[in-house]
Amino acid sequence: MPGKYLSCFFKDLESKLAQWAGINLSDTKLGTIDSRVDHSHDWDTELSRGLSENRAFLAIITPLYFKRPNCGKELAAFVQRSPGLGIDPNGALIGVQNLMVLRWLPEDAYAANGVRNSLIPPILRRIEDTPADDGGDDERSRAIERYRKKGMEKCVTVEPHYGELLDLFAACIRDMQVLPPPNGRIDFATAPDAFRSDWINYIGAVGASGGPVPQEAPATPQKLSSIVAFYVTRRPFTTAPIAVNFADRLIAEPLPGASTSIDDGLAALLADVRVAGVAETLTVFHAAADPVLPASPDSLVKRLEPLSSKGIVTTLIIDPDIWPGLRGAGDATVEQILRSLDWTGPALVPAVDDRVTELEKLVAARGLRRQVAVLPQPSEERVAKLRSAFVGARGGALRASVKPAPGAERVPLPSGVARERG
Amino acid sequence: MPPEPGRIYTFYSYKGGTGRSMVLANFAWIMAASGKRVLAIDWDLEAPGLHRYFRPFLTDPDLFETDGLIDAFWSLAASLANKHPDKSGAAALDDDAESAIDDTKRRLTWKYFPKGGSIDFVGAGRQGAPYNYNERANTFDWKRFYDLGGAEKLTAMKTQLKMGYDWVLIDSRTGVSDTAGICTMQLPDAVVACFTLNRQSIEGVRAVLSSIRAYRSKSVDGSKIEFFPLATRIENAERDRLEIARKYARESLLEFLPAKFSPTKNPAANPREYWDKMELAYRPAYAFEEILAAFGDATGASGAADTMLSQVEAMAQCITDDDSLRMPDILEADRAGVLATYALGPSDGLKIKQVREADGGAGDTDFLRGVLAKEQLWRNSKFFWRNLLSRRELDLITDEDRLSFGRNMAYYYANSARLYRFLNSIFYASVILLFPLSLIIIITLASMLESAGKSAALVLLTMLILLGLLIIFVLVGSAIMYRSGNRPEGMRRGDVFLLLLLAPFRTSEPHDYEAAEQRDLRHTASSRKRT
Repeated sequence: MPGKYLSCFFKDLESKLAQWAGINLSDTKLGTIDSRVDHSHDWDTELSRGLSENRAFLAIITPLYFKRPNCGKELAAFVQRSPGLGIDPNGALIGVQNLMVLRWLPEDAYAANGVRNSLIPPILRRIEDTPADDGGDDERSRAIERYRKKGMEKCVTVEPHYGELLDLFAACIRDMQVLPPPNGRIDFATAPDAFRSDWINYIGAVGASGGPVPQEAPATPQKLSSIVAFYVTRRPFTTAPIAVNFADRLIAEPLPGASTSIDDGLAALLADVRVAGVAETLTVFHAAADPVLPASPDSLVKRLEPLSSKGIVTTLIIDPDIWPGLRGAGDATVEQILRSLDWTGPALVPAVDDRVTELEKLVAARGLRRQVAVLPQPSEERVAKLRSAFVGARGGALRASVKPAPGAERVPLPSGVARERG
Repeated sequence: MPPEPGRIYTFYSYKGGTGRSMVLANFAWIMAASGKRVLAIDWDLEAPGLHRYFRPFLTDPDLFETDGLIDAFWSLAASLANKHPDKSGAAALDDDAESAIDDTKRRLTWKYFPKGGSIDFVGAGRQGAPYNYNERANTFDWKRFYDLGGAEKLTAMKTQLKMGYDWVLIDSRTGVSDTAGICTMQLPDAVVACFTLNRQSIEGVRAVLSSIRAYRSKSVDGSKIEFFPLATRIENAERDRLEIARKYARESLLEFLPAKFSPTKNPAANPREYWDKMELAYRPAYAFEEILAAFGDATGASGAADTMLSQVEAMAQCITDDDSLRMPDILEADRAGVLATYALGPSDGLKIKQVREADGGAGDTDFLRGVLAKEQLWRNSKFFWRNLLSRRELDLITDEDRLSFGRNMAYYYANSARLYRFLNSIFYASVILLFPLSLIIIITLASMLESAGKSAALVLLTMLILLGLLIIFVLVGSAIMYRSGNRPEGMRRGDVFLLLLLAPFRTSEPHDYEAAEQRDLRHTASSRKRT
């Protein structure tokens, strides 16, 4: 269900459009949103009606949006109303009409391994998601800039930006041309998932190429605002085509519908780590050593140590197949890495069976002084646990890495009662 | 012309449970209702709760989806940590500071503040168990933040906030913690120090205020800081002990009173005038839900009434040195709706519905809200003529409306600054014109009496001529004045006529309309009916 700010934005946008059109919203509703579908009503019918009849489609995108089949079906159903729909050789939809893509979260949320927009599926990469700025109004320019950086969630009820953005989005919708009646019935239930469809075969024709989508340069980890998670796993993954100097390689997060060799469980873990990091305003890098479990602990510690010393949050995510294992070679190596005092940060072990539930006892028995936490399997709980671990690690990074600036002031402290007066 | 910088006031108490957040929330409301831009910041990171008072007006009342101050400071710390040594410009710092706070500000959704009035709220941080608020707050090391150069950031933030708001109100942590130090020593222009009448609270506040004063006297900028001690939760049950405690508190805190009330700084000052306004009684009705006095008490309970509302108004008047401050009138339908949102238990939906229906429909309700907002502006802008009601509003207001508002439109006219100029011009015009007019009348009268004797009919005729001339003079004068550009907006021809007649009897200066007699109200309102 939509959150408080999304509901507020939807209502305000609808009110604005109704006000401009002279429509009384107490008599009729302009928009369709899932929260308005009553329990007694047929979900498919209600959504199909909105997708067939509404003038515009507002896709409020988050990385989770692309993973939800229902979101993909809604999008696919609506874009088929565009008479000139096509797709370019890079897989980006072209000729889409009346589709407005709106970023809900800060720009970092759409980045994986520090590469901006890398989580946005190719089909949407040619759809404009930022209102045009004619440069005629400073306040409007600031509002657009804020939206671009922070996402719409952080603009709702933040004045004066919110009012400006509402006007802009409402004007975009108002100025859209009415789409011609759809060819045949638009049916939500049978619509394909836009993010998992073979659009080139589906549309049957390749549109004009708009040229290749420019590849963004990756960001580098920053103090107190980035987390580098090193994965120690035997599960298959895809290496990201990015060379970095702080890790042997980065693990690529798969896009929905893309063919990949990554293990599903690991893909879900990568997504949860990123979600937890973004929620704590940390840019996440999924890193791995080469080989993933080095024969000697030093090679991995040498990767972790410089990051920690710079104040970049680090964590080690260890598959329970490797540790706490059966006292094999890998077991000993991992324990040496955990015992090392050269790096700071927690070690996290995803729960897959009963072995890891006894981890606390094991850590105590083996005398490990590092924070070692079990990550529960349900995604929601796992994200909460990850967030907690990241917050703690960031606090540790702040305490450990700061050298006083020359001439820095001290925190003023008020005095308490020195002695009681008569 | 750049806007005048605002003021930062910190609300502090040495001990918890003094009602500090309640005082801040009410003060914020009064100022916004006076057309001021207000920012309220919950800096009590260990026990945040200011958002409870604004609950009905927040899109996310529990702050489960809203970042807050602690998130802004993490962002600032990261920005400082990554600051390139060669690029440490003040401008960059200012941008970061502004951006970090901007990310967390949310505008209260109350639409009926007068033009210009608003409250932006910055919560302590995203609440709720899954979001680790406690960990985010407790892992933030303020000492390290200062080591990174955080003091400079705070100074930049202070400047930015003062440029963006008329009033920045900070709800401080209690005691002698580091956040309390930042809130009370580094940031504010004034500290409102809440205390209850017991030794630990009084002595604690006294010690902290002393240390703030010492710190500020040594600080580089040397900016002055004011103090406003405020006694709260006054319980009248044990009168003898209350008097002893009250005397003890007043003596202990005498040195911190504002100069206007301090005998040491101003020999003519009377501290009692200060304390008469700076005490808030304990009221059990406010103990269960975090309710603003604007909604907890009907507006009729303001002024001389012994209510939370009246005491909060008095407190705000004392702090701002503005006796015209009032809590705004709020329609009963709105009040019932807001109180239902505050309620801990199930709300009385039926009652709200009945009140709304009795209100006569949404159109009238909105109209009345507009009138009430204008009234508030009118009062708080020292009766500025621009805030007079428009002709349409005057036409639409019924006698009952006037009575229920307790306001007299004619009295507004008679006290507006523009009208004063208007009346002055009338006065001078009448002096200039009356002299030749009087001469003509006297000469005519004298010649008539001399030629025709002193018959009663002649005297009557003369008197009628005199009256006719006077009426013609006033009619012509009022017509000229009515068409002149100086006429206050909304004033009708009949009003100008009456005012021209009464010009010599006007009061010497504008005074509080609350003193208007009800008979004036009925008299002047009788001719206007809602169309």
